[in-house]
Amino acid sequence: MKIDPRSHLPIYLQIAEGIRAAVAAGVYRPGEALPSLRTMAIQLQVNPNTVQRAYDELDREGLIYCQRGKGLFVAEQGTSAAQASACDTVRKSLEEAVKSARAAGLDPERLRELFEAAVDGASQTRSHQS
Amino acid sequence: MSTNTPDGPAIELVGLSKRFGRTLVLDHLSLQIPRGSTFGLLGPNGAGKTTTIKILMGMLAPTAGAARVLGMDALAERLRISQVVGYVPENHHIYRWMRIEEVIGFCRSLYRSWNDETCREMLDLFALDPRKKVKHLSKGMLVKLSLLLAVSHEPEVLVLDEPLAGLDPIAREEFLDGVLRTICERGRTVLFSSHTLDDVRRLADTVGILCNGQLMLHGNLDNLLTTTKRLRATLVDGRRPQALPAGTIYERLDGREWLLTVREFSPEKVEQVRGQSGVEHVEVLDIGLEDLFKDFVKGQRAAK
Amino acid sequence: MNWLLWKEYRLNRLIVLVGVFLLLFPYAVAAGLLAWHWRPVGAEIHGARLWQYWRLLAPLWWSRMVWAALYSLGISQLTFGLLGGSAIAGERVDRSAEFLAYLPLSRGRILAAKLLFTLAVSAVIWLPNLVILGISVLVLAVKAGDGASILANITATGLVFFGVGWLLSTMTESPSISVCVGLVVPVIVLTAICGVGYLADLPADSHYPPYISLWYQVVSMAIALASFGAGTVYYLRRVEP
Repeated sequence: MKIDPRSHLPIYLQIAEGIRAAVAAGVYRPGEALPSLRTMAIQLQVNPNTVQRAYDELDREGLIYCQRGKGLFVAEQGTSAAQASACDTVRKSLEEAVKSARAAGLDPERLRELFEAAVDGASQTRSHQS
Repeated sequence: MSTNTPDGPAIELVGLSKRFGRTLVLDHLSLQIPRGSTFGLLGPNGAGKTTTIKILMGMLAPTAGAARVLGMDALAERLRISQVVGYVPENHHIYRWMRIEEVIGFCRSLYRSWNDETCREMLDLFALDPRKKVKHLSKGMLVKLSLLLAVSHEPEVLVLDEPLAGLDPIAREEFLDGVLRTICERGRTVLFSSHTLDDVRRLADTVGILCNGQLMLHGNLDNLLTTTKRLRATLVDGRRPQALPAGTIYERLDGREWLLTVREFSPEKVEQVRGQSGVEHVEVLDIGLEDLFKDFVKGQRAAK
Repeated sequence: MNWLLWKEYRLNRLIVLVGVFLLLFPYAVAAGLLAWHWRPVGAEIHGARLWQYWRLLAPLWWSRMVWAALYSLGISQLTFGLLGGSAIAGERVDRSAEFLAYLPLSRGRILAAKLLFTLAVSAVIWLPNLVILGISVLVLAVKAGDGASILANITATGLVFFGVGWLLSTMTESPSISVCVGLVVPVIVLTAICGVGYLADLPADSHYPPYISLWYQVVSMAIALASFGAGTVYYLRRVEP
């Protein structure tokens, strides 16, 4: 997980996003403990308060929960919640892409072609990788 | 008289002014940094950042006003303050003929709260050879040694003056590592002045922009960045409209493109701009710290 | 305090070296001269006979030692000039004063360390020489009279070297200028006193008029103490390192 200080997205949201992606990908599994505030802050080289905000955000979402004295753990439904949230992010990106395409004057047919090409391209890359 | 109350601010400047000859470097500067926060002090060269820090460390007497650290007056109680404050200056003048272990021994004898364990940890973290003489250290190692001396006595407040200037990327990372370990310790306060805005973005809770000796912009960093927006408007005939929305800190006209940087952004302000005659199209853009800083300083200069 | 004293020693290592040279040089010269005198005798001396010759040569030896001790004390006062002049200015010239400025170290402690170091150097300069002078006086059975005045003049000069050098050292960043001014002041004082004596038409009854000596000692002590006091007060009150 890397933080981009130049991005216009607040750092705590970047961290939250990173953890969500990690949970969705199975890096952190339900019931497992997340790295401590201190470890995460030092690893990402950010203020621990920012990491705290990210954790609070994810706690609010229900992705993680806090066990007093023991730390933060991934919720049981964490993986699916993360994936749902990932879907949400993708949907928003797609909506943005469609908006720009329409603003540039592309018609829906062309748009569909572009989308299918992108999906095919992605699955080809994956088959090359596996 | 000192009041080291547990709820008072860690650092307090009250109407601080400093004059060098005829130049007024600091002009009634007032600021409060709460305990446990990390404050990034920004400003163009010559804005007075180092002067402010030197006054806080009791190395310079203010012309007017007061500077307090943990409730203690910076000048009157310099000795008591130095026990609980760690300082990394911009220029290092540690005795060049001393070996690192001798410097450590020298400083250790002066601090009541010196922690050998922390010192050892830092020595390992920074990979410093205790037998090496200070004159043989590279800039990066010198800065790290300075930080080691500053944090080994477990200070409540850490003050860093342009600490990352001239460091290679690895030394930078190691230094940030060392600083973060302090920040993570039981809510210590950190004040640092820096030009590397990326690092300010990472580390600071609150920022302040010092310009012409005054604190111009001050507040929570994330807040500032989300409530300040850039408006990009297209002007039909390239004529700048008369009315600017409230909180405009900078504006620039480039042919038909009119760029505004506006604080305390609200949709009403967009409408206000859109409603002006001659304005065709308005776009709202997010702003990063670097652009916020540059626009702010440029705006201040233009206003003079 | 140990670390501070060690720091003082390391900072002034060169001065200490010069000081040792100034201290021992006269004795080296004296020993050389004596060896030269004893050259023809030396070839014949073995063991017991040395004792007979010793009783003969003892007065010569001790009078040479008096000369060497006074010479050593005299030129060693330069060491005090060097120490005084570089006391504070020396730490400003390499800017290490700025390093000390943010450490939990009071100006008072810094000064105390410097004074302690200077006292230690004084002891090394004065005590051995005084002991030798004391023994010489006993052995040679002469009156210490003139000698006391000479010693007083030497002391006064050394104090002025140090005191004035110290004052300038606290105010400037240049050890060289501080030392030079310190070394020049006794010359000015002596000239002024002689000048006043001459203008006031006071009797000059020997090549070493006692009143010049006395005045020199009094004025020098006053200047030395005043300078040292002023310098100390200034340094303690100054904010910049």
